[in-house]
Amino acid sequence: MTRVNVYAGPAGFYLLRGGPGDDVLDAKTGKPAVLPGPAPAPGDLPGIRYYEIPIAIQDRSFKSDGSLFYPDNRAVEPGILTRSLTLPAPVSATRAIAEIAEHLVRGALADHPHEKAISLLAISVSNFDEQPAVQLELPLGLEDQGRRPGSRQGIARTRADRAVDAIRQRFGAGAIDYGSATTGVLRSVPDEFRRLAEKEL
Amino acid sequence: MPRVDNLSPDGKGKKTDYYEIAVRQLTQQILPPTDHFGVPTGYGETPVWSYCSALAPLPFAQGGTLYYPVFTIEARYNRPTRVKWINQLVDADGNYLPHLLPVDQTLHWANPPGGMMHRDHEGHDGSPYTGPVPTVIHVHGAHVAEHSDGYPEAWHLPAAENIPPGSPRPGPSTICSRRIPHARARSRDCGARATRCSSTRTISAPRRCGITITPLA
Repeated sequence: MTRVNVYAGPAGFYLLRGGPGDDVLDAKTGKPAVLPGPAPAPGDLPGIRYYEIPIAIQDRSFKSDGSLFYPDNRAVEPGILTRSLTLPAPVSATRAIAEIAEHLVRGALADHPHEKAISLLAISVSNFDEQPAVQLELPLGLEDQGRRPGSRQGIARTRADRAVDAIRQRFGAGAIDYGSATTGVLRSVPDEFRRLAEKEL
Repeated sequence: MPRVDNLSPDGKGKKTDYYEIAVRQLTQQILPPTDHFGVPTGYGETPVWSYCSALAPLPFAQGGTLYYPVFTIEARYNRPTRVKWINQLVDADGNYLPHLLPVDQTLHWANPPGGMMHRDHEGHDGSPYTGPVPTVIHVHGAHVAEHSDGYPEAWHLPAAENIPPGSPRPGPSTICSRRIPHARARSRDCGARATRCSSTRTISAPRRCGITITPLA
């Protein structure tokens, strides 16, 4: 309820003047800092130059008729699509996760052929767990074998990840770095962004 | 913000700055009516809520104190401030105004229609709430007793003509009285028993400034 009550506007200042908490010390002189002019007061004549201006910032979205916009439910907004996929087994290979994300994005685009551009793409993964013992799978040539950690392709992807991790751990993060493919039309994620995503929190 | 009075509650103690402040709905031109080149934008006026002195509840343009953003309370160190907060989200006929924005009843919220058992719970009605709006005011950084802090469950409804049956009833009249400033009910009871007209709070002189007032509930 607070969310909508605050959004509707009512908020204001309660200024307390005087008392020991009022003194802000000037960092250069060590003396109390003083504004060069008075604070606004009732009965002021026009034209006074004020130096104390309380500022409140409220962030709102509006409809074109001027009224406030606020979503009416928790479902997705028009123009926002969500797609999700639950895997039969946990994966940790970067390539597998990237492939799933790409698959979901392509599916969403195929459902909305009139959309020309994606302005923001967010991918989240959930249900993190310790790596379990991998259940090996028979080479059945399934379409999604890259996302199955026990398949030949899945194991290869995991090994590749671990090899890269081991090299970077031993020789530094710069030993193997990202490179953008220059030959295709597909552009890679900016390196700065990828490094940010890799940052230890 | 104009004061109602300078009270001395017990007749001998410190003077207290006393305000009666109502939250009301108004319509005001907030978006720019013209662009940088003077061309009309077509943006209409925005219905919003703000506060006003209950003594002068008309919009500022009509000589009142109802304006967005709201007038400022200026308090002085070591001098208590007492505020009677009034929910006046009602129309000209005294009937309650629905919320300006869609209220999702299935989230945890005040839930006035929930009865004694399910007040301050999540509701089950998937449609937006259209009843009288619960509000409670919290002053950030204020030095107040807990019953005056504006806890989310200490809300009150407007004293509207058409309050639906089953809504929280006004509490004991002393809660709304100007003479006895403190709601005696605990904060939990305030939601259940509801000081429907308003609540009065004494804000003792805090030690720091830059406090903002935010409505909760």
